[in-house]
Amino acid sequence: MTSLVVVLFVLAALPQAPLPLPIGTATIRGHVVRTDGPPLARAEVRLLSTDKPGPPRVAMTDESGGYEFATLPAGRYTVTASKTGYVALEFGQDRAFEAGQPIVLKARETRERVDIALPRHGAIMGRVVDENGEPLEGVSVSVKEMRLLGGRRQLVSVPGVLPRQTNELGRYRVYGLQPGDYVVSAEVGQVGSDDLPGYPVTYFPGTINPVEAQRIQIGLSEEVSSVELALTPVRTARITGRTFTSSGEPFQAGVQMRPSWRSTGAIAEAVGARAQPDGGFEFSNVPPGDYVIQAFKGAEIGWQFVTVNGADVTDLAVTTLPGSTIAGRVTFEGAETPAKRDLDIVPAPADPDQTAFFGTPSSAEIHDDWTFEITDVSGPSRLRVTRAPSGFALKRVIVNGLDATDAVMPFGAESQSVVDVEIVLTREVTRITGTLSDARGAPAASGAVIAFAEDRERWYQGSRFLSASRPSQNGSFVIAGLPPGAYLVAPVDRLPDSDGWQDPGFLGVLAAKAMRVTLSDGQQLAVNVSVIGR
Amino acid sequence: MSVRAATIVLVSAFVLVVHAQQPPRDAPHPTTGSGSIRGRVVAADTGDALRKARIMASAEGARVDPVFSDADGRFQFVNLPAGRYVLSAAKAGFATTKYGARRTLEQPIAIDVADRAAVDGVDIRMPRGGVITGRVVDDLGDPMMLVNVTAGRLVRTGGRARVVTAGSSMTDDLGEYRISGLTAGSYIVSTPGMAMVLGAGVSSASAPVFYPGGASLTQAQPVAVHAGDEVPSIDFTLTPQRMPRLSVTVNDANAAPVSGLVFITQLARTSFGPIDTMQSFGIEGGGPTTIPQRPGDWIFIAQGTQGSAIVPLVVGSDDASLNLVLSKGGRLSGDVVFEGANAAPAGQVVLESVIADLPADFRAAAVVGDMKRDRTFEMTTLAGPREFRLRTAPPGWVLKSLTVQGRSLLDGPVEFKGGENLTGVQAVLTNRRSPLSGTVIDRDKAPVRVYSLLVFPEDRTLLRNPSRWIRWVRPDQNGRFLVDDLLPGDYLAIALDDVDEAEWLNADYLERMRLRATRVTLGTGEPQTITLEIASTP
Repeated sequence: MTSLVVVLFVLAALPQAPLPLPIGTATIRGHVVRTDGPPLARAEVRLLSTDKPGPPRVAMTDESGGYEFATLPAGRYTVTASKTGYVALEFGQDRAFEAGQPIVLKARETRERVDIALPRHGAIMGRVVDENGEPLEGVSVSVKEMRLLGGRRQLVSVPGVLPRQTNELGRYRVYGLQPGDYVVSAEVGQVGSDDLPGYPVTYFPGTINPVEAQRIQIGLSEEVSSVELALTPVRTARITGRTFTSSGEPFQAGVQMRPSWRSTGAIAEAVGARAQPDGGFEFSNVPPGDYVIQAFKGAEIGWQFVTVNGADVTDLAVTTLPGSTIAGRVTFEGAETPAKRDLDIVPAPADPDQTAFFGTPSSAEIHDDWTFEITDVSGPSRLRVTRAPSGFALKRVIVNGLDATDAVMPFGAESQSVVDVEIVLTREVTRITGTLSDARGAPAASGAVIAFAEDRERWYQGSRFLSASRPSQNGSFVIAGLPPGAYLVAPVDRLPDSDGWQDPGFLGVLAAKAMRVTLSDGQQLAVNVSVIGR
Repeated sequence: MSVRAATIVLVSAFVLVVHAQQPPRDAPHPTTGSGSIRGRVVAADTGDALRKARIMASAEGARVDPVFSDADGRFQFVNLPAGRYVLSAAKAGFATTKYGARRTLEQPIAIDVADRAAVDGVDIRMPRGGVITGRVVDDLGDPMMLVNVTAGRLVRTGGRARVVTAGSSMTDDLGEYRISGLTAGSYIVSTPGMAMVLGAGVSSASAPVFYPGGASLTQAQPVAVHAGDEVPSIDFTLTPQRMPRLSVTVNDANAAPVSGLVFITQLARTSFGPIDTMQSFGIEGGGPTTIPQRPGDWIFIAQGTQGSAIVPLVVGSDDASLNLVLSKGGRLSGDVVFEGANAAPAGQVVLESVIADLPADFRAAAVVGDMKRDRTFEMTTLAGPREFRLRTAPPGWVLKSLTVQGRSLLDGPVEFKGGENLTGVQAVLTNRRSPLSGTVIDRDKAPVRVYSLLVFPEDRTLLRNPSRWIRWVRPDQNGRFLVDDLLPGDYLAIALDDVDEAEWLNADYLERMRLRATRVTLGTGEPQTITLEIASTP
């Protein structure tokens, strides 16, 4: 029998001959330079029309950093320059996240000096040493950002920034950084690896808790050196146990573990265990700390907390739950039932530790008669309406006759199912409208307005009592759908993240300079918010 | 573009699956025993204890977890099954050292652990690592990132010079690289060819560069590295070159252009052995298709429904053309004979054929022939210059000969143009190897514990196949040597202080040993023990 070595390859199409570009009579010329002066050759310059759709034109700067786009039709264009190792910027843009300055060309016009200065990326350099002060070689150093995602602080990789290994002097250099705040960590092998000589993942300057890490601030093109991490070996332990179904039978499940959010306030990557057919599992080389172990198979899922302090943990039992059902109906207070079922009802997890490590909770199945059910719900959750028909907002959630709006309910066992749920939607929706102006009184085009409940208990991810709005070009904004109550309203330069602004720490600082308002049922309130000058 | 409007699909660089050559697998070794090895790791220059050095012990078929030396540099391996172990120690700032090997390419000394034996006093002296560092820029002086700079030792095999990589490092955003942990010696430092973007839609490539700036190995100037030294400013400038264009046509055996899609893979035969990233592309309708082609010593492998073709081609700086003739390939069939055995031993036998003249662990376009129940085997689709070897065999069995009509298929490349049908091929496997062991003494009859033994065939023609016939062996910790994987025949054996690791596989180097070597005939099956007198290094 004969066979040929199978060759793996990736097919890529040759660039197609470009579609013919429209011909005109205008020209744009300029130079790309480095922010410290010298010209930047072989930089890529992209010209994009903002008023006519079409592919961008691309040019490369010559040895003097010069470029030209000719035969352009009249119109409005943006010009962006980029080169590996530098921050890409649009013409007229001084900092990242700011708007650039489009160029309006007339026929036969030649616009000169469309110059762009690119700053180099920043870098972090330093050394990793062991408890004797001796350099450690081959340690993987990562630079990440702490982000609030889904209510939990998580260390997120920065796009384009790769982990780097220390050399024989223990030195490393992580490059390609935009301005920002970063967390630096060092990893010797991995949890679960036989080769690990007892070093846990350590965060600068030397803690194993990511929340205690000292952040490194990088400015534009800034290089920070001497970021030294001292690693201390710890006594690692082995955790062994078995997974059981809700009826008490051992079974082979997927088993994962990660540091508990309750103790660290941040979620690290989950580590998998070796699982056997008889339900047994093992985690080796676990550094001291608080952890949560999740076992799952299909819809069965369960969690078990465990604290490790150097001694082996044996015979841990993790029992899964089959999941509960939530069923009920949607009613519309004082209004006609809308025609379309533009509605999403979701059981939002309230405890980041007792949440499925992967995947998101599924939405309700809503029927024509506005009854609904959600199956396989596990973990403490709040019932949330994430999308309502236009003009409607959630008024109340009633479970078995009692008000359970924003209440955390336990789910997982069949006995915890709730089948008498009424979701009440109302047309009486509060609205806060207004204009955001800058220190001189002119409408602010950038930034955002945040409205948040005065009651700190309401400051959790996904809370109905937190809302943000970006103003339109004339500075006007709308925040609709907040439940009645007392609120604080404050402007921000920019929204930190998708829901990063929902961090209680951030809101606490904002509260000091916020305006206080009160909303009653369906109230329409107009306010004027101004940004204190920078 | 092609005259017949053939579409060309340009395939980006990819990684060919490379298999390490497996020696015929032996019976699995027991995983624990009660032998032990104890020793100390020290710095070779000062004698200071080295702590947290990582020591590995490997024996054929046994897997041992690494251990770390303590604050006094002491280490131990326990619960070892009997075997011959090679120890290797690694520590940041030092050159990774195998016990008994004084230089990178020198053979190490094996520790012979008998059943339940404790071997003590195995001290590993680690020299401080040398460092080569520098910067890579392009022709405009801008730093080049992600360039893999390698440092290697020059080795000559059968007249061809090769570089065995000793260390490598990738440049960062400043274009800087740092290769560390090198043992003292002379190194060839080089960069591979790199893609370079010169303008929108205009791409080019630089040729490989050998420090200080030549395009070929013959122009390379070795960089001298001493233990613990840092050699700075070994810099490179990469210049984009105009790539010559290669016009490719694919025909069938009747010289008609083939239809359908043909995949073509290219291997670059460089002084480092074939690189494992290469260009592939597809041609429809037989071409001609013209592609930009990096200069070099290439092997083109074409595969289509009409068959395959394997053609070497050297591309210089001028445009070139290549015509590939697809054929179903040659066929080879025969049977396996187990020398001396009445019944075939249990276990599979697999022969394989690879493209000739490539390093042993590069299985490009491999063709295998599995032995069937009736002990026959067959290989088809053999194309191009080929070598044959045994891939899998029952424990203890090796390939003694592979012949067709009296002609050996093991002594050099066999060319297949397609259509050949070699029948009656006989593959003779034998398990009768005659182990040769012994000791070495000096002129005063005193035992010599540390030496190198070279064993090579008397028949000079066999030197064309060094891996089959030449052995460089070091003794164990007791001064005893063992050669147990040579086929029966007439050999010359010589014990030396030191062997030139760059030259030992070459006929002219061995020629100088002949007069002082001792003749040894390895028979079939009976172990031999001899005592040799150490010869002075020529």
